[in-house]
Amino acid sequence: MKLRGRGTASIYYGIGNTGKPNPSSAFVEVMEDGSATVYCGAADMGQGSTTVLAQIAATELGISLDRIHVVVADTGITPEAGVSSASRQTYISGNACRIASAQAKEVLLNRAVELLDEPVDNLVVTDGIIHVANDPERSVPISDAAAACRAIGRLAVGSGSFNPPAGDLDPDTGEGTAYGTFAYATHVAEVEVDTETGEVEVLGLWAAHDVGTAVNPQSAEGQIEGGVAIGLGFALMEEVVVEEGRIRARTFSEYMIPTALDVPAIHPILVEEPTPTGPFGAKGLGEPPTIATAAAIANAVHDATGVRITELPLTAERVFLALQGTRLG
Amino acid sequence: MSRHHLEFTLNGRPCAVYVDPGASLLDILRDDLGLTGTKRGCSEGECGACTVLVDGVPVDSCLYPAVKATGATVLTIEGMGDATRLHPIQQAFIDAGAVQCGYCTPGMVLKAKALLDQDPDPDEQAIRQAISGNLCRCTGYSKIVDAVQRAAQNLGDAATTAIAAASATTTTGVATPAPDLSPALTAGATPPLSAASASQAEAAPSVHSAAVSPAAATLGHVGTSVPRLDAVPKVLGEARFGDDLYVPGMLHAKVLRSPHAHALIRSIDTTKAEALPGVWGVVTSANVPGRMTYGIIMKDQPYLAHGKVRFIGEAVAAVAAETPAIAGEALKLIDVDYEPLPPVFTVEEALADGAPLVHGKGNLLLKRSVRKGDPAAAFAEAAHVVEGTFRTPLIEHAYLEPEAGLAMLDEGGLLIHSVSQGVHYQRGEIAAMLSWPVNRVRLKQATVGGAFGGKIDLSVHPYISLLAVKTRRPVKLVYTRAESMLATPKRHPITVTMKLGADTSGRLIAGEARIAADSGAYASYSFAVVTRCAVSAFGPYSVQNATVDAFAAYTNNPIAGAMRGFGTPQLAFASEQLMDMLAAKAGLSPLEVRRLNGYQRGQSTTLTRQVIGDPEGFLETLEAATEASLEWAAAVGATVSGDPDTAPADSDAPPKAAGHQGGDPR
Repeated sequence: MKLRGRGTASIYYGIGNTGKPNPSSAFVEVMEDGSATVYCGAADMGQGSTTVLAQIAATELGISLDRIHVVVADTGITPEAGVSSASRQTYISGNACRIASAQAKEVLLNRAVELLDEPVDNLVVTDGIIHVANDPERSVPISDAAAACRAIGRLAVGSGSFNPPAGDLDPDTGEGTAYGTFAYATHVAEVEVDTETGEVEVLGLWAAHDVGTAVNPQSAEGQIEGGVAIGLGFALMEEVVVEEGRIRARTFSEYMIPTALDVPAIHPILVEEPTPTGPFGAKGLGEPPTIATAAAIANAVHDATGVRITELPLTAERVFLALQGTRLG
Repeated sequence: MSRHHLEFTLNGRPCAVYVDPGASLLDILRDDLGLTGTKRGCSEGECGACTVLVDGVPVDSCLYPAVKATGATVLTIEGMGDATRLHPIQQAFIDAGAVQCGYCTPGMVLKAKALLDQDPDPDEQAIRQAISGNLCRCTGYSKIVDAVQRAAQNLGDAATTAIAAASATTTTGVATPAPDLSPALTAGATPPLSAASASQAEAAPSVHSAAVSPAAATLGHVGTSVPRLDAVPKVLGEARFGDDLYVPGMLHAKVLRSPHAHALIRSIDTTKAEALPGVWGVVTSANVPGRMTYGIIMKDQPYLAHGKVRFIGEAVAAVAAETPAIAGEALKLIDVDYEPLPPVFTVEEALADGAPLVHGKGNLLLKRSVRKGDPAAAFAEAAHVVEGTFRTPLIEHAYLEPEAGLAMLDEGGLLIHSVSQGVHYQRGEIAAMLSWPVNRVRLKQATVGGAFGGKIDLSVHPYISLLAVKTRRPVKLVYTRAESMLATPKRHPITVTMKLGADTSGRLIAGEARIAADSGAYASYSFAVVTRCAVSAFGPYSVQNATVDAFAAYTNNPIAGAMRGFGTPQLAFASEQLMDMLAAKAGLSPLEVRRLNGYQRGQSTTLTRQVIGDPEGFLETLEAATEASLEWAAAVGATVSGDPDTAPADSDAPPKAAGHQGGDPR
């Protein structure tokens, strides 16, 4: 018999290292043609941080993304950004890049004050043009402002660093400020359990994530989908079997991860509740997508079968034995 | 060994090369012809990263004997398109956001081409079937499937346009086709190279993004779905991962690893290995001039085993030689005299009185506690109490790219070009090992093929650094898949015993948790994992009376460290099942119990008593995921369970099958 069930699981995740300083820094240089280079130590392993940092810098500088070049993760060139872990680069390095960009922009705006004879508060930057807010005709391109800076011995460079507001936790009670901001998520899983084999098929996964602001919605969706797939592997199939300290499976034929046939339709949902301390409201998203999936699937299996399984992975064998009222030894 | 003269057609051009009889097609492509777009992920034909087309048929080139390609037509990613002319499939991968780390991308693109050549209009299942032999650890496959669908659409449209154009005019446009040109391309329907292609610009801003002005979308600002900046080199196979780095005079390293889980090293004799022709250097802990140990939080792990080994796979010595084969031969000539010690393999054993000590001190690596309110009194008052013990296993990151890197002396210092998740951290460890000023070590991240926490710790770095300094030649090291699985830190196996108490309404009033993690032989990231477990134990709910004790123990198991989630997926498996159990006892639905207890604006304090000042989206995620799944259920006529109060009113779904009301074993 095949039984259907649905399960929900919710999580929160503190962005950045727990109760510890974990700063990041960045440099920004605006060139005489109005293009800009961002230097930041943040390592991109595929999650997309380099693109996100470029979008943040472009937004702050008021220039288009194709005028930005980002150099990352080279200690010979880039300043320290900490490790790309704890879902921290969008929030922490994003702030560092925004602050550095703002500093470089300030040099240009101050020059524009002189060129346009307007107070700085009246100036805005749109698509590489500095103009008077209520009189867009009175304007100077960033390239001209940068050249005018050079002409009098100023360079449009900026540096920024950001450390999230987190402090040491009390060693006995854990009391303290653990994180600068928190990300939230809820996953819902729909499963079908074959009672004759114990096999669990996941029919659909809905993953709603509060990302603060989605800097790059398509990339954010990709993070959710990939994280959910890792959560699905954790739920249903993955286990490094260790016997007397020896890892038994050392190949992909023995250590199975989900294939395109194992992963169902994943429905990412971006919830945007901008956080005041994030760059343009953004939080982090690297890890949250992986956290709730296995719990949601386990709850769905219980909903379908009435059996509560307390050990991962939910292999067919384990589920079958649980349905028979016995435990996998 | 006589070499075979191999002639075949490669990416539209005749190619001739001498090959060793045992060489795979992948060896020839990468090492002899310099076509590094084809990736080596597992060397056993399981991951698909090395997919190429031989006479139009996808093969795993890592297993395909090179000599078998005689006379064949071979297409690699380099033949699909170039920077001035992307193939429509490559463009579709960019537009769909199907590229993340990019390590699986070349193989996926070729697999997609083989499929679309056979079936121009495949359905989703056919696409999933076609790419099921190609693993991806980053994307969850959704956007790859979407990319193939888009490519099919674009190729179909282009073919239609081409036919129309050909019938309307006598000229067909493009005169000098690139290798492997599809009809669409030769007809002049080349998609724009620009990352912000027409189709992408149309798609942006995404429907999900909040209030993005049209100007911001055009400019690629925050809120806009622009393609990742390295998408073009990745779809072209031009991104340079660690294994794609080749420099003149480069040596190849291999690492000798411990076969024992726990043993003293009485002596290491490297003289025979050093005498082997082609060997340039052998290093052991005796060659470490500076600090002997490293670790991101606690410096307890030797760069090379020193006096003792603590897990199977621990690095004992490393060799640099002219070829990987010679380096491998040299490893067999290193004599290590071990004296096995009694090992410990479980947390319980490790913490028992008289247990063998993994390190000089006790096996309790660390403990983190939370104390809040008066949990004993609260549990005594609780109307509903649920509890259980939950176990999760050791998990492998399984990124597609095995660890790789190249080190060389450069500009008076050492340049390391390698996998990394944090170049500054790793640079500091290498400088300390060499006893060099930090600013004389430069660590540059190569393109990284997935990491998920597994590439934070050092891997190849100390061995290539010591050997490059010793031999004064560039040294490259690429882990085998087995080595990657054996030697690098993984997700902690954790046992959680948890109890939750609620009042009659189902509101949480008390929580208690005991969290036991097996750190394996070294600390790695255990401090951060255990601390995060302790402060996040009960999820996004207000619990005013709590006691949490979380600890990690040393054992002689493989090392556990950072992996996406830092212990919280293991915790959620416990706490979120208990929440459902609590809901059942309190007569609430799973949605209701979470809505009742979830963090809300203005009142939220965490387990650490941190008041969350930010706006919070927790309840919004709860409603959004629930609503979307119910819409789906209504659309497909699925039985909605678990949350009757939110089921669509018009749902006439039949009652669930028997078994749903089964008792809870706990």
